[in-house]
This record gives sequence, C-alpha cells and structure tokens, in this order.
Amino acid sequence: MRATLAIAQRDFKGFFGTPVGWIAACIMFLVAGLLFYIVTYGLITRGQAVDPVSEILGSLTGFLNYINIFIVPIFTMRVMSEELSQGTYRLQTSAPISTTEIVAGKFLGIMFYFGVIGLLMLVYPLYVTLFAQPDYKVMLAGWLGLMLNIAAVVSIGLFIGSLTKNAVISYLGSVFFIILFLFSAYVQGAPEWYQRSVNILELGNDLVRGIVKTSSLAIYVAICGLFLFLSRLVLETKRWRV
Amino acid sequence: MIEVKGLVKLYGDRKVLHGLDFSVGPGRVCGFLGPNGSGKSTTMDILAGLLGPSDGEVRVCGHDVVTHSKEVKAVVGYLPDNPPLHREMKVREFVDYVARLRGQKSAARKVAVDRVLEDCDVSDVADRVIGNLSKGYRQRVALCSALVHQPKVLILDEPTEGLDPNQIVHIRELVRKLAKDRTVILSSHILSEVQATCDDVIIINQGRIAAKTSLTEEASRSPSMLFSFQGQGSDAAASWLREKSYVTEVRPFADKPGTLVVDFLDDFCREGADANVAKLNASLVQGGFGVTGIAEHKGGIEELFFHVIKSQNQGGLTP
Repeated sequence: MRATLAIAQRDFKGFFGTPVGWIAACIMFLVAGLLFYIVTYGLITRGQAVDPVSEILGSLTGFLNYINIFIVPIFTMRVMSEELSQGTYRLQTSAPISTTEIVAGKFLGIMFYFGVIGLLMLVYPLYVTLFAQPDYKVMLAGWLGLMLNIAAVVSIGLFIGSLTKNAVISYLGSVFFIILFLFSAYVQGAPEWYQRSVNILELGNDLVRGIVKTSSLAIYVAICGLFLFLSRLVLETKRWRV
Repeated sequence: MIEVKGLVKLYGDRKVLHGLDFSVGPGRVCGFLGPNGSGKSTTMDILAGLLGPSDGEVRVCGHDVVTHSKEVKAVVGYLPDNPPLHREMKVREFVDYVARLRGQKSAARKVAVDRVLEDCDVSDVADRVIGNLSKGYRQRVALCSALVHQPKVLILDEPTEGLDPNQIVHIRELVRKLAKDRTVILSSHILSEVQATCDDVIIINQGRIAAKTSLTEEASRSPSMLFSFQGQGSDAAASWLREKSYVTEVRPFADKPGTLVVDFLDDFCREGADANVAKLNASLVQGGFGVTGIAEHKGGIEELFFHVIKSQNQGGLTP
C-alpha cells in the first residue's frame, strides 16, 4: 500500500515536473472554456433552460469524454511504455513489491491528476450558481461520470502501454483500441448486454443527466478491473518472456 | 550467500546461459568478467529477482529467486547497466522515493537517505535536479538508490561504464568501501576494472563460465616478468636466465612469440628490492640478446581473459 501511494504520488508530481501535464491541462481548459462560452451564449440567446447548470456541465463533460480518448493515452504512455523503455520500471520491479501494487500505483497517479483537473473544471458550473439554482446531486453525478469514463480509458491505456516499449505505438495503439472498443457496441449481432456495457460514452451521458444506476457503476468497475488485471498479467509475464 | 546451480536462460529458442554453476561467499567482492553479450547482465537480472531462470536453482541469502522473489529483492540492491533515474526529480527526492517504494517508514527514511547520500558523496548535490548532473554524479545517485535499504547483497552491472578516469577511481573506492560489510557482485568487460576491485573473478563467455579464479590467491603467487626479444634472442636468453639462482622458471609466452615469462623467487622482487630488477635488466641488455621490451607479468587471469577474447574473435565475433 505504501509503495502504491509512493508510485502514485511520484507519477502525479512527475506530470507537473514536465511540460506534458501542463500542456494537457491547457488543452482541456481551453476546450472547456470555449464550450462554456458557446453553451452559455446559446442559453442566453435562446433564453430557455430547465436547469442551466446541469445543461452546461452536461455539454462540458459530454465533450470532455470524447477528447479524453486522445488526452488520457499521453499519460498512460508515459507511466507504462516510457518507464519500460527508459528502464525506470526496473526501480519498481527490483523493489520487494507485487506487480498489482505497481499497476495500482500507476493507475492512481493518473487518476489523481485527472481528479485535480476535474475539480478545477467545476469552476464553470459553480460560476453559474451565482445566477441560477442548480441541482447539486446531478452535478455530482455528472462529475462522477467524467471520472469513471477517464478511469475506464486509463485502464485500457495502461494495458496497451504494458504491451510495448515504444511510446508512439503505445499512444496510437491506445487511441485506436479505445475507439475500436467503443464502436464494437455497434457491431451487428453483438449480444445486447455487450452493447450496453461497452458503450461507456453512453453510460457517461446517463450519469451526466443524473441517472446513477448500480449496473452502470458495476460496468465501470468491471472494465477497469479487467484491463488493470490484464496489464498486471502482461507485466508479470515479462519476467519470464522478456 | 549466493548459490547458483545449473542456471539456464532461454530467450525464445536462443539459449543465452548454458548451465552456470558458482557461489559467492559472504563479504566477498566477485567480478563477472566477459565480453559484451556474454550473459553477464542476464545473470545479474536473475540474481536480483527481475528475470526468471528457465532452469536451475538460484539462491540468494538462502531464498530461492523464483519462489521467494520478494525476500530476495528485499536483501538485494541492484544497479542495472542503464541506471534507472527519473531525470526530472531532485536527488534527495528521488532517493526518498526509492526508500518509500521499499516500504521504509518516514522517520527511518530520512535518516537512511541522509546516510546514503553521505556514503556515496552526493550530499553536495542533494537539492539539484538529476537530469542536470554529470554522468559520474548520476551513477552515484543510482548507487544511492540501490543502497538506501542497506542491502546484504549489492549487484552492480558495469558501474564504471562511460565514466572518465577520475570518476572511475572514485566509484572503485566507493565499491571497496561498501564491500566491507556486504557481498558485492560487479560486472565489467574491462580486465583492469575487475583486478582493481574484486576478490574473486568469474570469466563468462557465450553464456558459459570460462574460468573461476581468486585474485587474492593470484596476488600471493611468486613474482613474474615478461621479457621480449628481437629475432632468435629469446632462446639464448632463456638458457642464460635459467642459470641464475633467483630464477625459478622460464617459459615462452603463449600469446606472443619471442617473449619469455620469467618467474622469480619471492625475495627477488619484493618491495624495496628494485635494485635487483634494475641490475638484471642492465645485464640482459649488455648481454646482447636484443631486448625489445620488459614488463610486469600480471599473471593467470590476464592470459586467461585474452585467451577467451581471442577464441571468440576466431568465431567471427567482435570483442
């Protein structure tokens, strides 16, 4: 546990120690700011909204869910593929800790980063509370949806990252695989449960609308669990396969 | 301390270690000597518990590296050939992180980090960013991270690779200092490196142990010198030298024609008896044998190593 936190904390600090963390944050805030402007402008000119705050947060998180497919793999690439190629992964494997602790640490480190970004993103809906009365529960559900979507993408990215030492392949491979994963929901003849589970963007939209279902939470947990387990498996076999 | 029996490692179909057998006792400094690609790093990865052996038994401090790799990792400090450093971190922060990875509690950690920074002479750069340090300093910071948990066994993969002569001397002194209370295994493809720091030497070539020898025994051998002669001068010189009372043996040097290996009585070359050697050299030159070179004969390990390198060259490989 101590080692997991040590890895998470180091990775989190590492993102801010290099330009990557700052640039990614800039992109996300730039997009969010533009969206905020467009959505509020639309609301003001149309002049009709039942709950302006959740509408603003809804469009923001809805769109962030899409761009995160392209931003999150930058981070998973850094903590997996780059550590494998630069040899710093050896620091972790030569310590008396399990692969599970290592994978958990890497996962948490990225989640800390996006947690902070997500909290800062709340500034937009909170700003609107000056002018309107929001439903805070819906807001919280939307934020949870954003975080869960990121968590799912992070675990997929970590898995793809564990397969290669090459950073470029890791990034492009993750983006490609995530898109493939999402679109596999639309394959003709796929079982219904599969279509429902794989389309995490749709699940996220439910949460943004304030619909929290145990089944959707369970699906997120299952996706994260599966891909984190697979990355652990890949790292573990490296010891034997090289 | 370290016992290896029948160690085999396969990478796919390629066999890189062909049944290594050796053991290293407590408090010894053991050198792995061998050309690049001979299997040194693979062996060290296995000893540190990072790689699994394909066959054979490896025990470190009594723990099996396959079934008890956590215990092995807890007692081993490992410095791989490409030192694992997070370049954006500061030195103290980095060493503290490694100590945390190894589960040390905050109070003990501070003491341990300060001590190891002191031991490796990097206290003066403790607050600098690792990426901005010179290679010698970076190597020492990496050494700090291998030492912060006070390991009983220290494994160093080519610790002086790519350093300048001053830094090499510094790292050597450091290794000698560290070896006082732990077992050290270090690898190198440079003979003098191993001679300068190790008690025992294991020469590895193409995944096999080519030779095992103890340098402490080597040092107690009788003194010996190499004499090179022009043309056929060596034959006449050999019979002339054999008549001297202080010469115990004269034999031709296998690697270089026209050169003789001459062993002397212990007293002849002892410290402070330089005059004896000087007198002998003078009379050899005056004797008209055509002396072209005189050198100290460093003994078995050197011949052995060059023999290994040479046999590899004949196989069409680069040294």
